[in-house]
Amino acid sequence: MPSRPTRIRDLKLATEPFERSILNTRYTSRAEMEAAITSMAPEAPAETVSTIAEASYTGWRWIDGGNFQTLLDRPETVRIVLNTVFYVAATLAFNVFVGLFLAITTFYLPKTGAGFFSVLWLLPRITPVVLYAVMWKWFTWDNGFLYVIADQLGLPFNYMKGSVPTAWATIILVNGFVGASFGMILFSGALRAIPVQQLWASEVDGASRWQQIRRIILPQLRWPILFVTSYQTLSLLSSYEGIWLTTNGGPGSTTTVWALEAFNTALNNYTGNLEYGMGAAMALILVAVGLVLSILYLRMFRFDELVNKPRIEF
Amino acid sequence: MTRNFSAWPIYALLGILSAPLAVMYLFLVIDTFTNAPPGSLIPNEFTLHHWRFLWDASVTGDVWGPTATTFLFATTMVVIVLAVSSTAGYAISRLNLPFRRFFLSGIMVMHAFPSVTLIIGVFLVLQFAGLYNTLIGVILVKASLMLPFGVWIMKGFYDQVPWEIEMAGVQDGASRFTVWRRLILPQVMPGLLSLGIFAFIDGWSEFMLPRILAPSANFQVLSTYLNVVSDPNSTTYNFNLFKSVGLFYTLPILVLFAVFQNRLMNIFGGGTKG
Repeated sequence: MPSRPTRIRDLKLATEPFERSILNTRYTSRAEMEAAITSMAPEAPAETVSTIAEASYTGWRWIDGGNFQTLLDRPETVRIVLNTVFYVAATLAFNVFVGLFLAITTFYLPKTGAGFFSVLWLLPRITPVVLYAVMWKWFTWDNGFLYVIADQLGLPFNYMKGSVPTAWATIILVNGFVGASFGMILFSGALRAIPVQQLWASEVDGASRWQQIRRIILPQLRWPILFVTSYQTLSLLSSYEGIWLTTNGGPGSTTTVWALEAFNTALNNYTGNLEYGMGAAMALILVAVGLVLSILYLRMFRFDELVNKPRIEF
Repeated sequence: MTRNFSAWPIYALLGILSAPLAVMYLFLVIDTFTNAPPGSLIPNEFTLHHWRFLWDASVTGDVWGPTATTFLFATTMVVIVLAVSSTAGYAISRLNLPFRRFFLSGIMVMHAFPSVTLIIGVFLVLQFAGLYNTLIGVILVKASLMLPFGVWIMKGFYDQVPWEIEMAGVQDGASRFTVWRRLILPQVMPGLLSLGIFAFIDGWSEFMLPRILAPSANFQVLSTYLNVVSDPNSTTYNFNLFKSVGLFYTLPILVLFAVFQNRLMNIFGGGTKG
């Protein structure tokens, strides 16, 4: 609108007349609306009128936890929970194992080679998520990279949203390639903190690289691994922009996770039928799960050491 | 350490694992300057055709307006984040604050728990405050969602400043504020710089908040612009064009990353992305 008032105050004043209208119309009370409907269609039974009034109410209303009840009753809920568990578990496994692999290999490789790979894996972390999604689309879309390769090799090809396995593979990899660098950075830091004399000593005793990794490095990485696992469980539980921008939960709702469903319910419905209350209920469950996990982690990682008492008392 | 292993199998494994990334970033650059015949990936001609969106607004719409808005968005956010984190971090690290424990654990929970989940509540609050669909609203939300991370990082930097510096200042009769301003702040400048750069990159990349909290506003940032432009189902279906816009959008970030890579490393360790 070109003549839209710029000041919020003016805008609020201007919206007032729009809050009441007739059959495209707002009424201040239910009785008024029912009266209007009856005057317009006198033959309508009272039951229908009240159903219409019920359904057309768009304000807030206390419903005694009805949203949670609906969630419990809906058959899709189980499906979405299972999707979420699978998504978090698979992406987490990818993140931790690839992060560990990257950290250990770059630790042993000469500096230039190691530097190249760590920068390459850091790039997804700094690339804006929209561009990152565009790159993945190019990689997996019709006429994209995989399509051309498969075409030239005569292999069958299904684009990103063409089948359930490809959709899952896409979203796990999209999030995995971003998340792996987090593990890589933390593990690399922890690796550099290991006294190098231990590695020298093991070499004098004739240990192979594998034995070094198995007996010296991995035991000392126990806490970082636990930390990365717990931290990323939380972030994966509630991150959905990668999924939203690539498969958007499709095909159908086969790759829809809890956070994406909450977001779509409340704010991104195609038909415009936005259910804030329902979406907020779903988000609240996620927040509760997150809080419980965080408190567990705070205990586990000895939070008390972080709060030293100040030494100047004013 | 001795080389009691051969490096090439490791390079091969790493190469296979990193291949998708290498391919994507390689073609991100190549495709913006070249054309390839249909059904092939090897380019056969050099062209600047895909960059015409820079001066020809009829291709994808004006790109400079969104660029300016994005810059404004990112810098304002950096200013807010730096101002609050540098003071709040100090208070939580050093001052005898009531409920200090509570604040710290709260920040840690917020930090560990990505705040995008709160977006529905934030949306309702913004609408109530009349800031929905405005740039100021999005900036405020983005900055406040960034704050737990910023405060947390700054607390870490303040923790490493020796108490003796502070005590010496207090001994000489300076107030706590002067001590902070004249003695402590210069010590944490590197941290402040890294946090500022990180916040700028984060603000520059932000997509969700402008998209959700200002969907029909009369401004666009580059991320929403790119998202509209680069829909594979659109009429301008051309990945080379999408990638050119994307590369233009990401260039400032890549430059910052290349220049400040080492400074950023200590921040990435506490990163916010999954």
